Amino acid sequence: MKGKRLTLILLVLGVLLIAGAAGYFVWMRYSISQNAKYAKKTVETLYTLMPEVSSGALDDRQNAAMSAIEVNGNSFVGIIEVPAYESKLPIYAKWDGEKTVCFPCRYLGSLYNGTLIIGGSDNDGQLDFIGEISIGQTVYITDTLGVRYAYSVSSIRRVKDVSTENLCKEKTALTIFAKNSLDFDYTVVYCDVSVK
Amino acid sequence: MKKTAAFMAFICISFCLLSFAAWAEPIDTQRSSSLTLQYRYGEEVFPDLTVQTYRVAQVLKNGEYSLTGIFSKYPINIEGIQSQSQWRRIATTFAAYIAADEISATQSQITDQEGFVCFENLQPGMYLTLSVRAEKGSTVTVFETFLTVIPYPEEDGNYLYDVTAYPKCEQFISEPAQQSYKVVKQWKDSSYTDLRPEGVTVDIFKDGVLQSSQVLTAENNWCYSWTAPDDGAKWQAVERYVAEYYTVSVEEFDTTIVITNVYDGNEEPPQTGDTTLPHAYLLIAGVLGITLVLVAAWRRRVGI
Repeated sequence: MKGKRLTLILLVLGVLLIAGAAGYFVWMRYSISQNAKYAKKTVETLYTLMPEVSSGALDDRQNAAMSAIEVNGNSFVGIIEVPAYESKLPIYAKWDGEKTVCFPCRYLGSLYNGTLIIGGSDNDGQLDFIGEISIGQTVYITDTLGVRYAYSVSSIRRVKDVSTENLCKEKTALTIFAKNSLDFDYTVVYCDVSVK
Repeated sequence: MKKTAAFMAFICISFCLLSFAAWAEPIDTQRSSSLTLQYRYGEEVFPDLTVQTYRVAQVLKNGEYSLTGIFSKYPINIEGIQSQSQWRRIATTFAAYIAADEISATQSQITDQEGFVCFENLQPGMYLTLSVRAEKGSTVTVFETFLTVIPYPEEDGNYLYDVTAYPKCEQFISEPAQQSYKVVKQWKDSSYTDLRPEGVTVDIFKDGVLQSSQVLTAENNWCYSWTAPDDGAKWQAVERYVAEYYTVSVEEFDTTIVITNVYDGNEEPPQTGDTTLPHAYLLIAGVLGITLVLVAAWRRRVGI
């Protein structure tokens, strides 16, 4: 009798765990899909709020802070674009770990003084290109005034430490990083201003 | 020998310091100065244009500028300007407030047959000259608003108190079609969002005449758009009652006016270190569940 009860308990527990895992998986995929759609819609709204996009070059300026546009209560400092992967994402104005599932965040710095660091998630529809991007590929950052700046990937690293100190060690104009979904490492992409 | 060498070094250093002092002479802030402008586009000159100039800042003997007169009340930062784009932004902001508050010009003159205009007996300072527009048939020539400093520093360290400038311009054909315009509020405040007001009031002007006042809020994404004939009219916008702690700058693009509020706050470095791994938990739960089911099935089979 006791044995049969234990068998039943094990069975029920097992089924619940499988159902829970399956349910969580479905919810996770749904969230990722919704976040990707929201990011895309935000990009479209940002384009309507900024002047017409034009190519630009960096100049010296006293105040290197990036301006932000507020959309539905969230502030964004621009758009990151990787044409090779048809990726266009809004850049949230400041670092927020919880927001990284929705859009990449400006971790630190400014594009105007070559210190911009952007971090996010490698989920589908986010910085999902980060595992495949290669050296020499082009990344664009469009600021809130519609000026589009071009960068070229110069190096890619897998690291465990993405503290400010570690991220700022390599002096490049643009740094992009994302945590890998399947392990505890981060992929960090370093980019220089494109001279093309 | 040592004393002689030290004495000679002292003489050399003193000579250098005196030379430097003589080279970097102080600005004569009371000297009567002039500003001469010529309005031309290629070979074409523009007579009979009314040109207005405004003294927006005074200059100190050490070369620093500070807003003067009525302009001292505006929250506009003119310190440490290093780029042309910054100068343009400041000029646009001043022009917007001049239109909004109907400020009288320091001097107003009309260009002669060669397109020249000369403002004399000016006090040294920073001058804003407003945009001027000339129409000939369907061709519109617009000379930009710009800032000039008097005296103008020369490369040899001297100052030019009689300045000549040639305002930049562009020409276009006036289209009768409707055009969409917008005014957008942006924030340069290191995301100190708590300091942002709930709404800002923006006055919109066409050729200096108030067209409407709009309230920009988070609900309309701090943006207002409108349509109007594309007749080359000058659209401007000013923000009324700039929030505390902010300065303001206005930038004009083709059909977009961007009003940016600037707050120079310090930014704290953020922290990363996300230690969650949802896929791992998912995998563990799934494997454990399958294991339990298999164990239960085996127990049933062997009759335990």
